[in-house]
Amino acid sequence: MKTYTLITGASQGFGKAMALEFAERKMNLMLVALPHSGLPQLSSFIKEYMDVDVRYLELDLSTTKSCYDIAEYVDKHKLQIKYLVNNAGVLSRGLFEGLNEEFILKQIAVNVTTPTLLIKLLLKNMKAAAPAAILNISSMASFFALPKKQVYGATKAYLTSFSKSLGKELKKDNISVTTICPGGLNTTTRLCYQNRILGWIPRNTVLNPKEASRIAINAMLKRRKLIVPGFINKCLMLLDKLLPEFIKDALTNREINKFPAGKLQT
Amino acid sequence: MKKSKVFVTGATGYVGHQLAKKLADEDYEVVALVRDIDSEKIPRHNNILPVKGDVCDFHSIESAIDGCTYAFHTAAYTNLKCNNVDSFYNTNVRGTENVLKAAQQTNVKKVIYSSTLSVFGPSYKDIPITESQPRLESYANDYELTKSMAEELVLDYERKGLPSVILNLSRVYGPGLKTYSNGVNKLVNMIRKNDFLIVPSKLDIVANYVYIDDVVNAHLLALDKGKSGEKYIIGGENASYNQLFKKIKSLTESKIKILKVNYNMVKGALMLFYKLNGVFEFDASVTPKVLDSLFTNRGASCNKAISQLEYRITPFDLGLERTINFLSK
Repeated sequence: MKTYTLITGASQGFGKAMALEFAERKMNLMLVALPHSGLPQLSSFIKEYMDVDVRYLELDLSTTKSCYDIAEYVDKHKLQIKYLVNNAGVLSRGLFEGLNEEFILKQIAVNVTTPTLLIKLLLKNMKAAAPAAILNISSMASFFALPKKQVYGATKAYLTSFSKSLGKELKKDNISVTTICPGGLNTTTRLCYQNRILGWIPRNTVLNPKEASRIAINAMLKRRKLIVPGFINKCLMLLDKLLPEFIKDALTNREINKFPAGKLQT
Repeated sequence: MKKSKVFVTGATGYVGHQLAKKLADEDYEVVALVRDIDSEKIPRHNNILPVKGDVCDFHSIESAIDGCTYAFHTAAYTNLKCNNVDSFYNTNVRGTENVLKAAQQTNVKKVIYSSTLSVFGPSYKDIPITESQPRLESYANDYELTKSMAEELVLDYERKGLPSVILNLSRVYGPGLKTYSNGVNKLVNMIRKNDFLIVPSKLDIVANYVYIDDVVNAHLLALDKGKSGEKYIIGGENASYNQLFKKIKSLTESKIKILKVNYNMVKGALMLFYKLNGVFEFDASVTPKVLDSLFTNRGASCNKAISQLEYRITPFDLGLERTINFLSK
């Protein structure tokens, strides 16, 4: 039976890289992203040249209605979802005091509510395709205390924790849950630029989306529980366990202050 | 009768120089923003008024652009040898924003932004790049990145009401200034003069080559017919390095021996050389990054420009012949 991989936030950055990587591996795609983000163009390019079927939906994932719309579309078109990639996310934007409430709630909705609800709504469908897999895109920020990434880091900590527990429950249904926690990724032009002006160590923790997408998909297919891509990132995770708190504080503060806050804020 | 007044940046660069000349010949009154008013690279013409300024200095643009109906922004930092992203960022991103801001303030009727095909990244397999190809790889160098950021700015300003058209130029060749941006001319000279040439082994890599006169024409066509907010690939024929070498060899009647060396060995040697370069200050004209960029598949299609702008391509053989004639003068 024809099965599909559903990817949220698929029009740009890491989501786009994953869509391309899944397509290279000849898996059919169901792509979801914001309107006006280039999704129809990406979908028709993949469909035309990469020899897989591609469906797409342009939706704003900060509303729960969008999740129901996706489930309805999947039902209506009788798509069998084998892999679900929760990738859509809202990145951090600065100090907590300076964020507006609307932005914070939207960030929580996209990063927490949407992946949770989507899994809930698609679970029955996915059971039929077992062995199936869920790939949740979290972040290294879910492990560290980082100023300017307070809400973001917390939403990712939720996703990491949720995935671990859920994985235990879904074992009986033969659905694996993999969490990937990347550090910096060269996704949007702005992030690429920011990543290029970092110091040596943080600059070398940054991965290209294509590389990270291969690592993520391989991990998912091997049914790994949690993966931190990149050698230096793995070292940082180890160091985190070894270093005393005050040194870590000094390091994170130093790097955070390196962002040229003024000129790059949206 | 005099046509409108137009603003041109980059008139001391390869494309901008030829463009300013052509505009002047067509009786446009050209205001050319130049950093060095005494530069020999400024085209001399009665209709060209060089004005001292810099795209990095907003006020200099603001006063120079005043009264111009159209703006051509061809200035860019293109030196891939440079390792400092700030040089690219300041000229290509901030410089572009300065031009756009000044154009918006003075109600310029249309901005033509000269960008590059490389913002699309490599082609997918052997499928020629079109305007609708999504970028499939991350940014290979600071030039591609900052030109992409500049395009985003152009489209931002376009949405805010500044009519703008983006031209994505492929690899430009043909008569003109000797600058960093015309590698094909350099190659023609090497094949004419040298006895042998060492090249990396990836000679099946395909690129698109566009004749300078076609590029200049495309700018005028874009002014006339280009739809605001659109991007047009401005290219010529696609050719592999094998085909390119063969063409140049036969046109120049050269007996050059082309020695193929494993690509990774060339790259490795360059990396080593490049490291030493920092210590000894040799002049390396090709760095590992430049090499990678040269050896990326970038076949392209300019059907959109052909059908929507009535753009026409000079056949590669004819263009090369003219180039060789120009270079042997």
